[in-house]
Amino acid sequence: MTQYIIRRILQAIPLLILITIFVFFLIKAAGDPQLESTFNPNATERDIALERARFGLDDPLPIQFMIWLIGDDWYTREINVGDNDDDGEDEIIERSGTREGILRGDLGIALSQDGKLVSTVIGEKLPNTLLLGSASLTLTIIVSFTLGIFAALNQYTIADNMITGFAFFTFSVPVFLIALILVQIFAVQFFRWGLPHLPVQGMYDARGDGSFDEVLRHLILPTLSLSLISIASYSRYIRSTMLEVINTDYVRTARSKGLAERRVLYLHALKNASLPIVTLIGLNIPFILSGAVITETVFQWPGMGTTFIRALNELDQATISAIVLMIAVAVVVFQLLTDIVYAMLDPRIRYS
Amino acid sequence: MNRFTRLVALLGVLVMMMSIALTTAAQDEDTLVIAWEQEPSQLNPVASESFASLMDGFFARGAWNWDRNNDIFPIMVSEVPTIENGLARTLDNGNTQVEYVLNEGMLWSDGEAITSDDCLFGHELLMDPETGTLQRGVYPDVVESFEVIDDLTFVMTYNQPFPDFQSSATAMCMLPAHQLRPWIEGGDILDNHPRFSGEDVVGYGPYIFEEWRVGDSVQLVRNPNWGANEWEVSPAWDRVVLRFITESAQMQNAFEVGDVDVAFNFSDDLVDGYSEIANSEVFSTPGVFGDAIWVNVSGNAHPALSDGNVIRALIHAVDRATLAEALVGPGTEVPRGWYASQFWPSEEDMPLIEYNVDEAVRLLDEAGWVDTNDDGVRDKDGVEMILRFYTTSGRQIREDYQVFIQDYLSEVGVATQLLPIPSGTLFAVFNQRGILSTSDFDLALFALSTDPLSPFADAEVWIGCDGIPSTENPSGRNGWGFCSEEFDALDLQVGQTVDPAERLALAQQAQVEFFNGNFWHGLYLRPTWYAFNTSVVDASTAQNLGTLSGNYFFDIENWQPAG
Repeated sequence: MTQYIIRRILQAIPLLILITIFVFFLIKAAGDPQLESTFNPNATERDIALERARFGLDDPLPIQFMIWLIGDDWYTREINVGDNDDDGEDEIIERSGTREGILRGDLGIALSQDGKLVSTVIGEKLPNTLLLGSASLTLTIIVSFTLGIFAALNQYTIADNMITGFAFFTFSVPVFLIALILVQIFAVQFFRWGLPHLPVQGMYDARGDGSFDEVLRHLILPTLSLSLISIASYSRYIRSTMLEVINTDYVRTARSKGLAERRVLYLHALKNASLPIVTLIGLNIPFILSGAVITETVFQWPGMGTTFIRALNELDQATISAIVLMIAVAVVVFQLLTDIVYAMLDPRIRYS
Repeated sequence: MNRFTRLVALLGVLVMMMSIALTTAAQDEDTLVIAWEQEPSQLNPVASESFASLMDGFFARGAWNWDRNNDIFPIMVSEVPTIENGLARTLDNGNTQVEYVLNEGMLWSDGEAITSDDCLFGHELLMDPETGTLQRGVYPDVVESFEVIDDLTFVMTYNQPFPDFQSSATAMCMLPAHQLRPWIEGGDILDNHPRFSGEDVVGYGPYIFEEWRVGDSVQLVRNPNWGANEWEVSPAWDRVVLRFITESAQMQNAFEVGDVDVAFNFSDDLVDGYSEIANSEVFSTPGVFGDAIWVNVSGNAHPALSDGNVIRALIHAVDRATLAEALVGPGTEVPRGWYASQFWPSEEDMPLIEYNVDEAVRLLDEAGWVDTNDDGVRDKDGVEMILRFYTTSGRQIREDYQVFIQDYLSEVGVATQLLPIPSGTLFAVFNQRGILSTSDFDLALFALSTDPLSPFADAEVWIGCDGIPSTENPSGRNGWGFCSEEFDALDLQVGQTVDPAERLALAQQAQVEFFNGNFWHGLYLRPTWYAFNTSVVDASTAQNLGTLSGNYFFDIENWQPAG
């Protein structure tokens, strides 16, 4: 097992390097992030030149990639800020680099956040995303297991058909629409009807004190909208795997041994039926880190999703690369963890 | 009870628990909540981000400002320097010198006195690019010296005649030297100081910065050191919250349910929605960004556009007044000039080209553009009159305008290809094959901002002959190709004439030249919309909102609660 884990980690290194190269050059190919600033008549040639130098945008691409990896604290740029005093000669300013590069733990400067460190930005936003993601995942697991098991045990009944209908409906509605419908019902309509209503967006009450119960109330709608689609798909998986398992010989044997139905279902059947779900959850957890882009945007949840969108809009290579790299590492780690959990749940599986 | 019933009951309990949790937050009458469309990344008062500089009205007031009518009024100085009051003067060498006299008794929010040294510190920051990121503009190029006379008086001398001393390259007294100078002297740059991340923000304004909940809101509380002086009116609310809401539909929802009391800067298509909300008052102030039709007169466009009468015909064919009323809002006027309206020459010298289909048809016929092959589109010498019409994608009103203009032009036999494209592609520089910079268009619809406080166009790069882009001049931005030696000479004179009357006369001559260039035809000034919850704010006291891009909240201390 140890050998297997080490081999998997070693295999991941070239994969991560390839991903970083791909993402870096893909973003650079998308265009110049500061192009529109040149259309600002109030920005002087000096302002533009200095700002571009700060982010190293005028360095050759391979140098930019190298600087992203190893930093530029060894490098002094000569910045041509133009002929500002009309003496016929361009003014040159020398400026030493200050960045240490991703290999030394410096994720770079976030262009989309006016020069904040990417690590600071991630540090501010990641906890909020994890809160939303874990609340959503918890709700998804609880409700989808409940509905899936219930539907499997009551196959082809009205309840089963209703759960199936609910799953198909929520699965086919785009998440932003679900979010807006929930807001319209639980915030706007409840308000119009004079009922207590949920907050429209944000993480705290504007007039509140930032307490935890405020956060909980603000968490309800984004969690619901994020969970509904997952509940739809997870509950279908659980229903089908449960159906498969409850008709197997060992379940029949357990029943014939006189074990209580509850014990048969939850100890013998569910444990085996949940194996594919473990894989599914394991693969989905890394994407919690990236934030639910649409849900966070609609609800103005201050997390990684909104940060990612802002970085994308502004072609902020450092932030995008850092987030993609973070997700890539998380995918590798969680795939590995999933394999380990799989082996723990299913004694037949052995890695070598 | 069967399993299904139990499940339904469980869900019911869940919903009930949720409903209990739905207790709406109590309304706190001492707090005003303003929806904020975009969260700034830093609190740099001299930043390029407009939503960061908008916050200055609360806690970082400058030397002076302009009211809704663009009338200047003093804040930190006892009197705004002008030529008339002698605080601005022309030296023997023709250069401009401006004397600032600060008000006595002003205190930073931490209780320290505001002195000339704070403004000197601002000067030092602006002159030295190594101190950090600031939008320095022309300051380092035009300011020759800064001399402190005493604690409240200092003199700035420009290295040239500088008539725009009120609106450009002015003294920056917004940052406290006692807090930030040690940081700079310690070798660090301004950007890294915690003040710009919302910690220990020392400023001068009716509010002080209390907390920045990243991604959620900024919390401002009453400044205890504001109010000692007669001009420092104490604000009505103890606390102001700037709530970040980027989604326009969500901003409207938040306004409706009372989560926010004031919304602003929303788009025209949402005005009706806001107006229908109970207890809302919606109004607008004229904006500074004017969308216009830009015509390519560079000679690289469709051959029809080389004839000035054809361009006039195109403009005659479009009912711009009706479009402005219908698409922007009632009362919206079509601007006659690109410059701010207070600098326009008389209507006689610079008339608006009115909607007149007959005149459009006559001019086109006279120019030889007639429909010879009965395909509904005019042609000449075998060339069909099909024009490439660009705008930036993503702004609904521009795309609506495009469609209506296409319709109007088709009425007179002119066809257009509508091309809404990303702004990055439209505005890219010459070497990156920008559509405008390479003159690769016939008509375009966009806004190029002008200084609302100055008649100086600073035309060199954008409107001057020297700004026409080419392989030899890739930084030029004048892709529409307007070139008038007379205009360039007049603009240069405007930039260096200090006497206001003489300057205005020159600017008006320049505008007539600009107008005769026939390449810019205004559509509307983009208004700024506001919605107030009238059960919280007495909207009649909140009408004095600035029309400039960065001073919406300069009068916040005079806003009063409803009732």
